[in-house]
Amino acid sequence: MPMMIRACGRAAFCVLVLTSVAVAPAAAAEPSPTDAARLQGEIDRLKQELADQRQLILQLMQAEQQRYDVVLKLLRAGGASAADLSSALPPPPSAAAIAPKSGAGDAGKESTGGAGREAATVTGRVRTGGGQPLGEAYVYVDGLRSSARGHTVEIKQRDKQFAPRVVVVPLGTKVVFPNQDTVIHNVFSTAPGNAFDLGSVKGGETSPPIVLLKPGPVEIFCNIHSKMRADVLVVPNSHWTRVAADGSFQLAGVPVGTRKIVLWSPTLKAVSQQVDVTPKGGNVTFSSEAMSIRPHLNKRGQAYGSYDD
Amino acid sequence: MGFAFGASSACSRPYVFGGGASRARIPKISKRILLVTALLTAASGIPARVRAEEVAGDGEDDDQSAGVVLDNAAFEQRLAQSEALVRNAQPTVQVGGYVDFGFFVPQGNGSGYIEDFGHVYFPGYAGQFGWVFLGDILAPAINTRGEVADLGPAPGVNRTDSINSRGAPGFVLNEVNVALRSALTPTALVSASINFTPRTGNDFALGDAFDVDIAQVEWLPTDSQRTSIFVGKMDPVFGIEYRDRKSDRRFGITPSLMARYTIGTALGLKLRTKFGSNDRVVLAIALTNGSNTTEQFHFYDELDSNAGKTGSARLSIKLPLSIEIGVSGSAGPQDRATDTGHWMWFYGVDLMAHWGPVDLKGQWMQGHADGQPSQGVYGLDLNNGAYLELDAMLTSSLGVVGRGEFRDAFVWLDTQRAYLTKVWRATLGLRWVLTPRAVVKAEYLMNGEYDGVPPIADDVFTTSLVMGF
Repeated sequence: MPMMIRACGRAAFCVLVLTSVAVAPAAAAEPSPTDAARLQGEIDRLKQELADQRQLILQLMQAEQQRYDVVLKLLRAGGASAADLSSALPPPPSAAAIAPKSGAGDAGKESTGGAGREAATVTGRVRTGGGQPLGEAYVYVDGLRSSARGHTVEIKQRDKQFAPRVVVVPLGTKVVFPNQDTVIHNVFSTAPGNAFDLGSVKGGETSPPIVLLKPGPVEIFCNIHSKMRADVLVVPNSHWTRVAADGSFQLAGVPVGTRKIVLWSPTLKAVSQQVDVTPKGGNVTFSSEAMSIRPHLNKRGQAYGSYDD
Repeated sequence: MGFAFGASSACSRPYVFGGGASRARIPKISKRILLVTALLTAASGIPARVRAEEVAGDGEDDDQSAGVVLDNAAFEQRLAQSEALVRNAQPTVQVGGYVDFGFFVPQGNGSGYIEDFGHVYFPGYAGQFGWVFLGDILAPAINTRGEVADLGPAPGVNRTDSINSRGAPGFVLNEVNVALRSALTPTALVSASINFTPRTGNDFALGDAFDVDIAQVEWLPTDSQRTSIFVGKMDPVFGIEYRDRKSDRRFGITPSLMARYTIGTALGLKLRTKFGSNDRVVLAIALTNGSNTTEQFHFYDELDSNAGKTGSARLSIKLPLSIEIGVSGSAGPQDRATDTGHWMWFYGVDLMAHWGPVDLKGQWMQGHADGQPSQGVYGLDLNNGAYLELDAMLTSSLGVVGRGEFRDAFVWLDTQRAYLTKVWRATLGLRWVLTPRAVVKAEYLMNGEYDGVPPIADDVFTTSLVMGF
């Protein structure tokens, strides 16, 4: 709890500094272009820090919520002793530990000889085994983490299908699920770290948003209609792009250094490669095979049964 | 269109992640955190534990307020443990069901037939049958169970008249359904459905009853989960109306005039498998004690009286425009007969279409049962029977149902009695979805007669409030 107060304080401080920095140029008389550029850089840095602090607060709140849930569950179970609570409760989170690793890119920079904040374009190609259609495929840079930007994405339920069926969202994105059908749906996911269950939602209603906080694929289903499926890829940063139908892609703005590039598609096996990104760019070729999609289980880990709508 | 209430779980709220970033919830969460922290500080001794760890540390962490350092890996591990905790805390047996409460207003004396005294309307039956009745006993249905407002004053029989309204309007607790579901393995599902029906007692005895309509194991033996094998008392395979036979599934309230032949649950074995892309073709076959007539009807036999078994099957195919057509049939030694020399059979064609908020459903069928006079077994000639139903949701909460149907049949028992049915029915209804667990429905059933059968006052207005739990 003190960490949360502390984090909130730091965020407030950032806001104050940001405000003062933003106001300062207006008060000064005719700043030089160099000063303006420096100030702009400072503003960008503070903006980034503010966003990081927001993310930190979010994660702290999530951790506290988790602690609360565990305690509540034990208390409801009855007979929980102080020792039980003590052993079951996750340790309080540390801001230092869960703060977004905004320095990851710097680490990469240092490992490659100090190329500064330079970025380059990674180009590449995806080949599929046996002429398998590529479908909807994406590549992204793993290992770099940027904070949530407050995005909100809608995944509608319409005619007993999700729309869109495949979505890529940055870490921390809010996702809402409007039920535009006339029947009841129960959207859920059991993806580790991103599991959720919206319960029964009747047609025309929208449940509260969920926030996806762990990078990776999230398979989303309906507990009533087994054929409903959406695939969401939570990317850890803004460095991602869709692979063109011919298998080519260009990933711009990748910080130089040794980077892990990941290919993901709901129909292909995920593959990744380490790529040396120099100021001149980088190149990578992926080979992947079709992934056999097995029937999923319902939210209780059971088969849907023959009469599954 | 599926109208199941859909199971909600205890873990649906509060969400593990949902709404965590909502500004409106921050104060509330903070209060909870404060409360929990205060509780823990007072009761759990955790601060002492934390202090102990800090003391035991190497002292390199100079941020005293940071407490125990939790890196991302540990945080994710803890998260996985919490999710597993929630998953494993789910009960082994899931309990669901609903309460169906209604109010109905019948016309006339509540029954759907009259006696042809003196063979006035059909003199041709004079000398063949002692009593001839005109109309349809099950036409004035008041609920999804198919119970009628009144069974009427039929001579020569002692029937269980479960509603026995004698034409009076009244409230009725149609059914309290309790559904149980569990999994022996992820692909072996055990389910049971029990219905409790509080009714009027008789001669100082309670009239309440219960019936078990489903008690089955469904096993999905293949990786594709497209094939299921059922054992127990299970849904039939004939036609499509059995899918809506429960009031939490049915769009409207009452069953069709054909339902008596198709929605009964029988004991036996069943195999249902799907083929083609998007499960385009579905084949279901079953071997059961008896037919799929409903339990209250005088053709049903839950425990067989003869060594022969009834085979039934349905083959369906999905066509473009979300249309599905199916053919189905059943045949076997007649229920309640002690020998296998007399058969009962049915066959029919069904149709289903789903166009956004609109569903179209239909069934046509014919059937025959020889009857066995010496054993008191009825004979049946179902010359023709069909229905066409349109269900449409006008808004996300309000829907309308319209159904047109007819039944042309002759049922007899030796020379004692005969029922001549030539009836049509037009049904109009409303459906109002209050919440995912509560639906209000209302229907008006206009029953009519044709082809020489005189008009019978047997319309019904009925309502139903279905509340899931």
